[in-house]
Amino acid sequence: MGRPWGESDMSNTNSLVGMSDIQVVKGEGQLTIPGLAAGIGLCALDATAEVGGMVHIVLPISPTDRTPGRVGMYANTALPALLDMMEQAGAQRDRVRAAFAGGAQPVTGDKAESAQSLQIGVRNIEAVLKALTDLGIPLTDQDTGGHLARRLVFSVDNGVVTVQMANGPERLLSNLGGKL
Amino acid sequence: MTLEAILKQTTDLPTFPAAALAVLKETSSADASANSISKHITQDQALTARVLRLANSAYYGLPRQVMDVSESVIVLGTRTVRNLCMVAATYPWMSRPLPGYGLEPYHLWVNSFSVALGSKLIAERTGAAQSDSAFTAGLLHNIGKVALSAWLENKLGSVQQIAQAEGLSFDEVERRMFGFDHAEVGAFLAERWNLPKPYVDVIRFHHQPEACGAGSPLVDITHLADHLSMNLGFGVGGDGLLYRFSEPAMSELGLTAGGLEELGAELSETYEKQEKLFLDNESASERRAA
Repeated sequence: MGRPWGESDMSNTNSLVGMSDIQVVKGEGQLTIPGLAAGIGLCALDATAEVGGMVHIVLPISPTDRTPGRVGMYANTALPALLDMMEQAGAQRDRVRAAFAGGAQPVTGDKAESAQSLQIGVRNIEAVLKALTDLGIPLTDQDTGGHLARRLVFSVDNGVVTVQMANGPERLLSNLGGKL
Repeated sequence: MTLEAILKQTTDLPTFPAAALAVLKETSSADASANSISKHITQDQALTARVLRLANSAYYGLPRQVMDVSESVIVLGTRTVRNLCMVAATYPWMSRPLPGYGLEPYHLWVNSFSVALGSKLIAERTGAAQSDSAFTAGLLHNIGKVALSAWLENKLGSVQQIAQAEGLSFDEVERRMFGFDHAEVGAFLAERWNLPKPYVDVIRFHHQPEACGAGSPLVDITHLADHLSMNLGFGVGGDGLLYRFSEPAMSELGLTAGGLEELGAELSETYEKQEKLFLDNESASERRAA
């Protein structure tokens, strides 16, 4: 803990998860999203099989008339794809637990935002919660909203997820593995 | 302290190469030709090298090597050459870290390039402005941060706190703290560089498009592209999403939130490919390793 904002520890077992990326790790490994804004970083773990995954969701729902270039872009396509990849790596769906962070929003004025305003962060949070419910995946913790960017780090080997707001301290978001 | 005094005391202010400015003006002229444009490019060694490198890149797949800048202008097209010159002119100082804004090396570049691409996409979708002008406007919109960063270096946490406690935007706190914000600083620099007025307006009003008055589509376009890039997380720093979104800017351009989201999907899908086209291999690998 206590790494400066924006600085990442990228050794061989550590990977950056870019926009719309889905990455799955079996055994040891650390997955990092260095800068989440309105997007969502979701971490999922089957602690028994030691299979964990992270996805960097960009937008809420994929339009019905358009197949996304990358399934990780939208909440409704990213989560089923993440679970499929985890199952292929040996995870069992009924043992998977999840935590997520992100969904920041611009500053609003005195008036309530109209439905026409750009509310990607809020809609992303709603879409992720719905997708988790639809898939029957328990949510352990979430750190969402506000106006600042976050860095999310997931250590798959012990299930620890940390979050750091821009210019703030790194803190524990969730212990998906329960091994601390 | 006045804006002029702050800039006078700021070391290492960004500059805009004379050759790039001449290309910007020449490519906006109806009389521009490959020869007249290349005459300006060849005044600057770095611009010449970049234009030749891109014309000879695998992307264009030409059967023989292009040795001449004038021929490169014909191969690449005036708009691409102009956009490339703008990138070459700004990349050296956009790739610097800006601790005052919590921006690591290359983050301002990533933010600026994504706003340039987003502005180009919005201009093409709405037809409200020329797409290459929108690209340039988006690329330059945040130049003021380069100058003001040093003055915010130990104040970032306080600005964040004030903004969040009082429901203010980052630029509003800057104005309270200094009497002006990074947009005003950028506009001052742009005027000093003799950039055309539409770009000065974009730089000055990109956080307050209504203040520019109606009929400024380039300002509206840049404002929306800036918000798209911030939301997606392209080069986001310590100021995060601490900015206000202008619904009138969106409706002026006939766009909806859903339409903007679709453009965001397009932007996130094309960013990497476009960056590879505009950066030489060395710069691109340095950027990705950061």
